[in-house]
Amino acid sequence: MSGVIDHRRLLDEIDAEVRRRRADPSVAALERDLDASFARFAPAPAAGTGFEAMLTRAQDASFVDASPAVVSSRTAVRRLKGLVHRAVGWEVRHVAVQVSAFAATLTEAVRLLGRRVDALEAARADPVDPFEPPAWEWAPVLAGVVAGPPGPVGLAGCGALAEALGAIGIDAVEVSGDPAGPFGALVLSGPAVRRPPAALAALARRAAAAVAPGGTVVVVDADPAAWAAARSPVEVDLGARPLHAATWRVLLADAGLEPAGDAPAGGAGAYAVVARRP
Amino acid sequence: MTAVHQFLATFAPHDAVGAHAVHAQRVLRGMGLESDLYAGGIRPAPGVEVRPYSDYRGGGDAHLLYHLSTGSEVAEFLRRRPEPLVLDHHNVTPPRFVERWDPAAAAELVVGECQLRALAPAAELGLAVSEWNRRDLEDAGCRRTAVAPVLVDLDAAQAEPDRRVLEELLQGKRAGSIDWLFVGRLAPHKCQHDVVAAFAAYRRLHDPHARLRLVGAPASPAYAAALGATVERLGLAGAVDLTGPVSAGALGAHYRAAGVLVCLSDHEGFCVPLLEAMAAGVPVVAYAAGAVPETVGDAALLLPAKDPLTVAEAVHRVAGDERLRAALVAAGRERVAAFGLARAAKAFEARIAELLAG
Repeated sequence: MSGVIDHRRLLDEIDAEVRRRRADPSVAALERDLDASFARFAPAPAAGTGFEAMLTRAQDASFVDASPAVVSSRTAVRRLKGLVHRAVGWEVRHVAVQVSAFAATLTEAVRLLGRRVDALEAARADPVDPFEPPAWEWAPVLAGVVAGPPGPVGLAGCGALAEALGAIGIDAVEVSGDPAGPFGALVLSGPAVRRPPAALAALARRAAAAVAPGGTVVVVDADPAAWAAARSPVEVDLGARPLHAATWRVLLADAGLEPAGDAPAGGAGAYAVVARRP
Repeated sequence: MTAVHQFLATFAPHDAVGAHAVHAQRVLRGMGLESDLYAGGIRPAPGVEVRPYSDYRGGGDAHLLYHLSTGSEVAEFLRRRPEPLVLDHHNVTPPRFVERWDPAAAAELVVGECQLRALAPAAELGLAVSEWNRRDLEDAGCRRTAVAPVLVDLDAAQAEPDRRVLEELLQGKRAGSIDWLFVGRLAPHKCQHDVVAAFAAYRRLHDPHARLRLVGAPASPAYAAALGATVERLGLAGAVDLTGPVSAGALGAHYRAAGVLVCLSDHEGFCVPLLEAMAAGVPVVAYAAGAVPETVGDAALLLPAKDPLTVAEAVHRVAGDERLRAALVAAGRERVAAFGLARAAKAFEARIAELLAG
């Protein structure tokens, strides 16, 4: 029975009709409006697009279109819409121009504010993340678990830890971007592990490849409960929140590492998960 | 007595995986095997006994069958068990679809993907409800795989529509107008927002009296809120009904009242509602993604794109072309026969019998 449906021909006909309709500017405008409608209510992404992308989105949305389509399948309604549009259109446009200008100015102001925050952060000698584990507390704990094959200890995320480990005689190097070894051990913490979950699974695999056989990968992070309690709901929703220690164990095992126990907790609400490359 | 006990991350009776497990239990017991249900989270259902997975004590000649659909502590428990493992893979939604909306849920899915890769090489048999899922199992390192379709009673879904709900749904329906339907959790990868956009275009271009019903519980509160706000903004509040979860009888009524089922999901591992719609004689228009083409075969109008105009035009064709509509309905009924419960149960039984025979 399904043989009577010529799918290919049907799809071609649908395609031809869609092309014909798109030639009508009001239909093209409808498509643009439909595209924008849902995007307007989608949440600020936890990852993938950053501050600049959000501002661009805000800027796009700041334009108020004062020329709605006056189409209707019913002639009387179409005429009425046209009449209303002609009667009050100039007034609506007058208000729309002011609202658009205000919104665009506000967006630009937020962009400038963002640049100032970036500059301030760059100027700070020692940026403090309340959930970045205190280096002085974690350095001796980590010193006990990173001993292994020769090679430096890579530290991705928390620069202060490199300094603290150096102070107690451990050859520690800061790693920016993706870790590329070989390292004797690799410690992931702070911003390095504040990424979306799928990116963390990839990070675990890269970390596993970056340590020498017998070397350890250590993840130091805040417990999600501590994070959620101390952060505002907006921050929690916007940020790539930390994972539970158990989840890290799964990701590290998936990356081919063997569990090597957890380091004793260095601070309230924080943990260190240790895994070893076979 | 030989046993095949089943484990699930969460048991919910009306969920496709939960219903599948209950049917599987009947098949296994019908084979003379002992078969109990264990789960991490349990939503009680009358007549179905499900125990916490931590109650499982082992012993005897037992296989453990795990229904994998997300990350779960149950998988970690099974990794440590000595019994031979059977994986029934229902598909893990790729985290990228959920990440922006619900990072915690995405983390669960990332773990699910990892657990699939951890369990698959150790499994004695990997069952999949679709060829799409079977390839997933193979990619994850499963040595022995087979397709055994989802166990779903499509006749029962149609048997007893709730009459009161059906009357309500048919009320106010204009002659010659068509009601759209989609059934599935409100979730980003199921793309109800695309259905709403296509529906808005359809109302504007073809039928200002058309109505849309989106049946399903919100899986992501943020997504459900954005969907509701979009409906409001497009001026469709009176035409689009976000029903939330409904009873089996009400679901039957929704199928009975629908003129077309429109599925625009970006990802589906099988998609039971496509078959339920076909069983109810509702023509299906669907976007060709994931396992959808495999589930519908030639029995749906399958679209390579899902921009609003294309979908609206496709539904317009189905609504306005009586011959096409009749052909789709007839093809749908034929397609459903291939997935009937009796046939699917036989396939499942055969796979298990082969496994136990060595």
